[in-house]
Amino acid sequence: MLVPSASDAAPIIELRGVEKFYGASRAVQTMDLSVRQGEFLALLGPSGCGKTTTLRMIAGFEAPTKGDILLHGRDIKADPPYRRPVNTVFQDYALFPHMTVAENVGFGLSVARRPRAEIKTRVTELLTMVGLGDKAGRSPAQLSGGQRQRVALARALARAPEVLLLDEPLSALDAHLRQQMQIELKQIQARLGLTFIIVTHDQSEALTLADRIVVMNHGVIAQIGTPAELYDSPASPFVARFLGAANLIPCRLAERRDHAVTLAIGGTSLSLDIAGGSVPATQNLLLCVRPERLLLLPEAKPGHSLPARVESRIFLGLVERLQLRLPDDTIVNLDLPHRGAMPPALGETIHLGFEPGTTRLFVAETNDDSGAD
Amino acid sequence: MMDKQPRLLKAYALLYLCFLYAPILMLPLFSLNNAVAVAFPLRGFTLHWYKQLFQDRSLHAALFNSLQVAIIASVAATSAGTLTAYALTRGRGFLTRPVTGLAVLPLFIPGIILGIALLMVVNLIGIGPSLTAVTIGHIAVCLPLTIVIMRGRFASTSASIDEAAMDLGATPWTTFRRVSLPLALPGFLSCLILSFTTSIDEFIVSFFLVGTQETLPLYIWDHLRFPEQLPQLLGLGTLILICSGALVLCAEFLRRRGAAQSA
Repeated sequence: MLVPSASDAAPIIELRGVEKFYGASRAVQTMDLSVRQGEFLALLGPSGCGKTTTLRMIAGFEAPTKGDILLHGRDIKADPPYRRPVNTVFQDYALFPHMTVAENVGFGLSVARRPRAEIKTRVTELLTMVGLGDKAGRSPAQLSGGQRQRVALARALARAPEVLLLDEPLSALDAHLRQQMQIELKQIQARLGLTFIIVTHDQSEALTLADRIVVMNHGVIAQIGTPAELYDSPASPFVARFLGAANLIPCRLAERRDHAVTLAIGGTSLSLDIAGGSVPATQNLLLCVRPERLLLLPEAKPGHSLPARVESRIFLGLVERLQLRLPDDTIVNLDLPHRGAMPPALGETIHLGFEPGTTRLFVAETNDDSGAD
Repeated sequence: MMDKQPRLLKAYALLYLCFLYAPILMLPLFSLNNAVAVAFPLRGFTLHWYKQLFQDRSLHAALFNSLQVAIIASVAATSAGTLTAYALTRGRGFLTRPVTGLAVLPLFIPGIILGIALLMVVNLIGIGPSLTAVTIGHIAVCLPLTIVIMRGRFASTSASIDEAAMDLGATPWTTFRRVSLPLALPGFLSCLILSFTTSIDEFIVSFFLVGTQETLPLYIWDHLRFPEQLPQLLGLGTLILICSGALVLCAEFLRRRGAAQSA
């Protein structure tokens, strides 16, 4: 581990043992989270995982049932939303329909009784930043979805918040516009050096935007890490499946020796190098491997390859995805770079190899922990 | 067979409209008839009754009383109803549900019961039957109405709009004043108009609570005893009909405009 820098030592926002109950149902349970100054953090998870509740607790719209929420080390749990230096971009934008675009953006400053000239300058500056300099006098109803989104962003930035919260801000936009806005959001965040916390259920959005991703499931943090960390070393089958595509092959642990394990998959035994990964201390395991990390071997390597039959081929542009059936009937995906090499024919039996150090072993799931959607 | 049904339906609709409006149309008809007795055949056109109407001092006093009561009652009921409805739609306390039910229940209490109850109260607190008592009675009659209308109005705007205002630093009061209320303004105005017309028309509760100063409906009731004044009262009825019709149309227009705006 590196020596923590100053910003690591003093997180801008900290959640300590935060819990949230709605009646008897628990939306968030015992959550500890440090948000670093200036980072773009994504709260990612399926609907109902507690990510929006977490964001609303930071904004002040919900009070935690238990635990503390700290901003610069000060507990803000008891502060109402209007006293928190934190602003929100709402999922439905929540623009004020009876005000013009400029009045919307200037609302926070006007409430703070800033001088009129200052408000005007700041509004112009913000609208120019989001590319709506010519729309100041329009009413929100006259704007397109993407433009409303920009107004909501400009409005939330007007008071120069310590932290900007974004609640699924792009979910109402079409795919093309969403990608464009993702890039703009990232640029604005980098330019302003502000801390952004975004809630999303879209893994590609989280991967695109975030410096760090908090994957949540059933009100619990499943894993925190950079996009690469989460992708390369998922902590659970849930995380593996939620971020990117993952093959999870049921297997039994036959033997382990230092960095090597021997697994029984169906009737075949497979020796793997699991350097860096951990081996759970149970018999029933899941072997996790990304489709692009599987290898197509020219011939069988006893103990190091699995026979597999080609079930279907899907052309995905960058890669061709082969769906393969293992001897135990598990279906796995293998992504073959699309470089003109002849892929194997349907029905053909091929030999599947594993790139060293790219596999992970998990305890076989028994419960509802797999609820990715 | 097929074309018979629409024709039947048409006849039914026509009968229905006659049933509703023919009696009401008697008022303007006989108010312009040159005879004291309400009977066919008509005796000829006259504006005499209207002239008499405009010269009647006691009528003017009653009209003035009614207007005064209606203005105070509608403003009071609408303001109180708006605040109550806001609290009921935005509040999350354990009292919200029971209070919502209780607040609108008086809509279903017969006016005669309310009249007796209020009479006892005004006597107990020492106001006694008076114009003030009538005003209080009208507020009680209009309040549930305004709560129902404003609650619908507030419920139709997204809660996140209020949250956005608070998120941007507006206190709950500022949020209400600068965001929630302006958005509910059409509903607010239609409430004002509806409670105004309710108050102007109100009879039963006023009947129990009135002191020496009459309101317009009570004046009409009193003067029906004098047959020779009947055509004049028909004229008055016609004018009231026109005014309240216009006001209700206004209220409905505002309500619809508000609904379209929030959609």
